[in-house]
Amino acid sequence: MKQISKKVRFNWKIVIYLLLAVVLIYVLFPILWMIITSLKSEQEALLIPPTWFPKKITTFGFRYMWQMKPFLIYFKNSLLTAGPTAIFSTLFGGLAAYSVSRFRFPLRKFFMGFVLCTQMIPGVLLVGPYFKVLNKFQLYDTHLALILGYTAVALPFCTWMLKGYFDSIPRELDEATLVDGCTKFTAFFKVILPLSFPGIVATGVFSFLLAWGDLLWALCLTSSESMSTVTLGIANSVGEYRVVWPALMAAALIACVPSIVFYSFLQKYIVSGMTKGGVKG
Amino acid sequence: MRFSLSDKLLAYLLLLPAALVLFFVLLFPMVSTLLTSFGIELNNFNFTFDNYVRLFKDPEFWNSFKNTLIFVPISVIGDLVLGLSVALLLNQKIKGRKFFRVLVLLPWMIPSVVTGATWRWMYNPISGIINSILLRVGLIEEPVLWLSSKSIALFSIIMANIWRGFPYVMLIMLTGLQSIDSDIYEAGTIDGVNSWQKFIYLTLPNLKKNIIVVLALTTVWEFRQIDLVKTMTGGGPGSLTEVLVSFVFKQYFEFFQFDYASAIAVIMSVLMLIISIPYIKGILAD
Repeated sequence: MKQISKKVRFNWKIVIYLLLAVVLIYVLFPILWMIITSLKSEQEALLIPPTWFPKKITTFGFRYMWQMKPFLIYFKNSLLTAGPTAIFSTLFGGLAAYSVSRFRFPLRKFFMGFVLCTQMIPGVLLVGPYFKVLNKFQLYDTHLALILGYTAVALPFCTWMLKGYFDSIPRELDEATLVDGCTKFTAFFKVILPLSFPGIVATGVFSFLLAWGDLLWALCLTSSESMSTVTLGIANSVGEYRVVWPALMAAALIACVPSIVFYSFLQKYIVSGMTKGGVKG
Repeated sequence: MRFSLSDKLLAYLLLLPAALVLFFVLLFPMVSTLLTSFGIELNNFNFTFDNYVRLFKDPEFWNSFKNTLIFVPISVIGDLVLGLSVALLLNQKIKGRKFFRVLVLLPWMIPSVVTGATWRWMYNPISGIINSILLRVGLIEEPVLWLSSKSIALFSIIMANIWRGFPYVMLIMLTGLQSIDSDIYEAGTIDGVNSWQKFIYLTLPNLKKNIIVVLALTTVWEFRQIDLVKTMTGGGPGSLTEVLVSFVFKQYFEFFQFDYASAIAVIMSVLMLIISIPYIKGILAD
């Protein structure tokens, strides 16, 4: 009797691993294909039928991409918008979260509810009028325009996530420092900040990646090559008459690197916050 | 501890930067869009329903509306079914579970523009890998025009979209599964319940909250995402794969029909707010 049940369980294991293999092929194939294509020459990428592995591995794609489009400028622009976005949204979100977490005032619930609702509004509803405002202040096609836009998009997530972190720190701790004669601000820097540091880093990285991966705002709020971001560069290249696929896939691959590195480390922090903040996409 | 008036002031001061940004980038544009859709501008005050009337008569609007009604539900159901299945798979006792979990998350991590570009390349009718495999296996006899033939273009985008979207659902479901107390399964085993019954009567009810959150969130995300349509087909050919978001974008930034585009955006937002009410209520109640 015992033997039979063992045998049955054994077969289950094989089924599970088989299914898992199917899932992994489905998940990984497009990414592998991106890598394989990026290592081919332009002629080989267009062969019919396509070769499974590059006959001759070449760095052509990684060299040509910079000539095909000014990707160096694109990457610089992406960094210059995503970086400040991370700082501003974490700072502003952190201040708001601290206020809501540690003070009692009438508009408290309303503010958090409003912040949550704004997350449900589609970006296309906002970019239009925002575009008009920017034109009035002559901020159209600038880094600042994108930074402000992304900061607003990331803020609700940052506020909700950091509020969660601050709430989990016992109030007695900061009250103890207040008794010692410290001000509210030193309490913030001495108690709250060090204890919620992982959360703050996770929030910042998340905002960075949100800006890094965005297409819509960059598409609507920039017009010149010198302001274009990486995602916009890829989206524009893919629709052109002649697409140099190895170069494009090389650029795509490089664009993935920060996202994959950061998300892998931070996934456990981000999941809980994401269900509440409701951003991305 | 009692708060003095200055404390209250401090609380509001701390909210100020966030509130200002939200006002300029979210609240003001929101109100402005609403007013514009009724023909009200700063210097021009003539209230009208014309844009909404025009919308109801516009076949292009109904076309993108119909496409959205195909795109969103199929993507959401695909995300949910695949996400839940893979979560159940990864919840088993297997070696290297954490490693597999990160691998499965990869499609969700990479920028969606990259997803769009890569799938467009794989769908390429002449030198794309998908046609090549299907031809070799013998499933098709001639190359399929994945992104330009009438009956399948939208579904080709949906396929790529599910690939991108399901890992997040998997992650949320996995957290839900891991928080279920294993005692209830043991009790079930003693009572002679089979695996399928366990799934229906024990697992699913325990995941109810996660499923609701995920349903609301993915619906909202799929509703407003433009990246895949933009990079894979640009809404074309013609308006074959146009969805509401890309339609609004075109009206606003390509045809400069500001008031008309605003009306469509308002209709879209109302739909989305209705969908997300249960989710918002749930979070605020916490």
